[in-house]
Amino acid sequence: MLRLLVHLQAIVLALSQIWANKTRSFLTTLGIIIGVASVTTVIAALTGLKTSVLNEFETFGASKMFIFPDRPDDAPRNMYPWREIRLKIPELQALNENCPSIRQLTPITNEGANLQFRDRIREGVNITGIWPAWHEIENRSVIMGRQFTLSDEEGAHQVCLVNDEAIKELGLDADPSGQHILLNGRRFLIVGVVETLQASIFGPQTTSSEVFIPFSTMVKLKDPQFFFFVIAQVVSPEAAEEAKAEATFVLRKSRGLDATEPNTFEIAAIDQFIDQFKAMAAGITVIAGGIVAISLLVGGIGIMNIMLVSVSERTREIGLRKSVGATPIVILMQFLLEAITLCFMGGLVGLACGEAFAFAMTLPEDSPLEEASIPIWAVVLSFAFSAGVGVIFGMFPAVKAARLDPIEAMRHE
Amino acid sequence: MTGLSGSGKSTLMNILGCLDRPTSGRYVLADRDTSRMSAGELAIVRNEQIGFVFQSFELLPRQSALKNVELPLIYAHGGWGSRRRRARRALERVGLGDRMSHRPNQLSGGQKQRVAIARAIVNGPAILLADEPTGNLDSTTTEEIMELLEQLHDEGQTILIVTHERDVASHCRRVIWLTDGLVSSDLPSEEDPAVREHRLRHLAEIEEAARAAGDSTHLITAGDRPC
Ligand SMILES: Nc1ncnc2c1ncn2[C@@H]1O[C@H](COP(=O)(O)OP(=O)(O)O)[C@@H](O)[C@H]1O
Ligand SMILES: [Mg+2]
Repeated sequence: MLRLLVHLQAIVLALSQIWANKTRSFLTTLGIIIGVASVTTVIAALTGLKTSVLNEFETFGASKMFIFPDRPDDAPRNMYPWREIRLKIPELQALNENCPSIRQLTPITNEGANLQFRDRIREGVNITGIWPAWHEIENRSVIMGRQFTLSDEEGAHQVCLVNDEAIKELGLDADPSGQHILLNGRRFLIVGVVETLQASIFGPQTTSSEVFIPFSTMVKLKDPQFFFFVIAQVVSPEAAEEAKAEATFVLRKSRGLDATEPNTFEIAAIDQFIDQFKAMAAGITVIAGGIVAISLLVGGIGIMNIMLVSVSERTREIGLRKSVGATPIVILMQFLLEAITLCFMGGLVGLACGEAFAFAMTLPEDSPLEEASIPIWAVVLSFAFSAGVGVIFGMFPAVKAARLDPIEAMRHE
Repeated sequence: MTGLSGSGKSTLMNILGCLDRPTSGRYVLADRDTSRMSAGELAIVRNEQIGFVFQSFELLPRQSALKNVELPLIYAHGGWGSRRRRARRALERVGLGDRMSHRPNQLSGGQKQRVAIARAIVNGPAILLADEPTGNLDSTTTEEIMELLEQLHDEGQTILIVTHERDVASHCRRVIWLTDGLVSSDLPSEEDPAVREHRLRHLAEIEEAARAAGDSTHLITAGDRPC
């Protein structure tokens, strides 16, 4: 009870000591303030980024899978030339027919083309070749007109879908179905309108004109060695592993790979991207942790320095306190608590700065860091670290004070 | 306790006050051998049994007189609840009832020493130790402080004063003369003050003469001892 009161008194004393040397205390704790402020800001930004990225993935669809050609890791370039490992049309058919865990799939291939409607020309517009399944997989339905039909695909008809942005840019009718546009000089019939994809982290950065044509039509327009990839929709998110195994089997078989050879393609499920992102976020957190460790070390040395100055300045006072009955432990605690209080207040100010920065991040319209906030664990950890720095770097000066000989101390000038 | 400068007065007093420990020998205080105590235990003994008054007051500059007097009670067992009241009473006893919230720099030298005396007696010590308590004061103030100490003594407080001023020593019932770290004379209280005064002067003269002659081995011969 007595001890508790003595230490309580020591905290009051520490606060008055810190208050009496306001400027000095502030400069001393600056290292800790900056350390805590910067790390909490980084963590807040990362938390915000994580939330929005995961939200994005969510809308992206948890049951989506990407299939694309990929050179095995470390393999020499000439051993697996692109022209050999690229996906081929028969493989697309095989995947579509022999993977029961894949509900539907679409090949995707892109091409830049010049668009013309009457006298208006738009250059370098992105043309995408798709199967009708694309609408459901990408969750972008036709809002006017119709999708491509089987006969469009099989007959490689010169038909296309456009988005709102293309209607605007080319000056098409509000419902352009039935109008014709020139695509690299070829006449294409517009059959419908697709919703414009909103700008997002993973999609386009800005909304722009888009034109879609049947995949088979695209094949005819392109070089025979063209590149495409596949987006598949799994029957359920739980079936992702199975679907992956099935697709791997189908592709290995079609490529005649024997058991010793590595895959020449990659099948990536969305959860894999999530895991990769989480790993990256964890990596950044660790780096931020390293930064904070260094700045806390620097801050801690500052604290130790100022505490040594404080002990030296107050040597007479220490001697007097001892002569009236302060035990070494009480003196030790007094200085230790002063260091801890100093660090703790630095942590508090740093955290306040971090909160302010985190709040500022959420302010801009459409900020990707809308959800930026400092998680509780980071708050607790900041304080724990600050107090820890106080204990570690305050210990040496405090022990020095506790060991002072009262007579020597009172002779000190 | 008196003697020439460097004769060991402060050293002996610090040992008696448990601030210092003898290199050899033992110091038994209230049946307890202090030479075996830890620094922490000695601090508790100082807190409970000893009150110190120093030549240069040693008040905490930023604290009021009252806070300064409270200091020993902060470290005392059971001193917390009543510390404000006890500190007040101690200040009133030294005649500073109207200066409690003054800071040391707002007080005169004599008043500062009164605060220090209040601090020394606030926890009811067995012995009050004062090392040259009037060393920094003029003669009028010295008289006032000595009067205060005499009052406390009359009320039953044991007081040990270290001084080299004979005026101060003349207030004391018993005078111990130290020479080279040894008690060379102990003049008891029954002695006629005039006789004692004469002997003290005699002691000082022969020691100073010996010192001037460069003889530092035998300052006091057996024959010179007045007791
Ligand atoms: N009994 C003793 N034996 C050995 N050295 C002593 C003794 N008493 C004092 N001293 C030494 O003499 C020096 C002066 O002592 P001090 O107590 O300051 O004298 P004073 O207060 O009388 O001027 C100190 O260095 C102290 O260590
Ligand atoms: Mg002395």
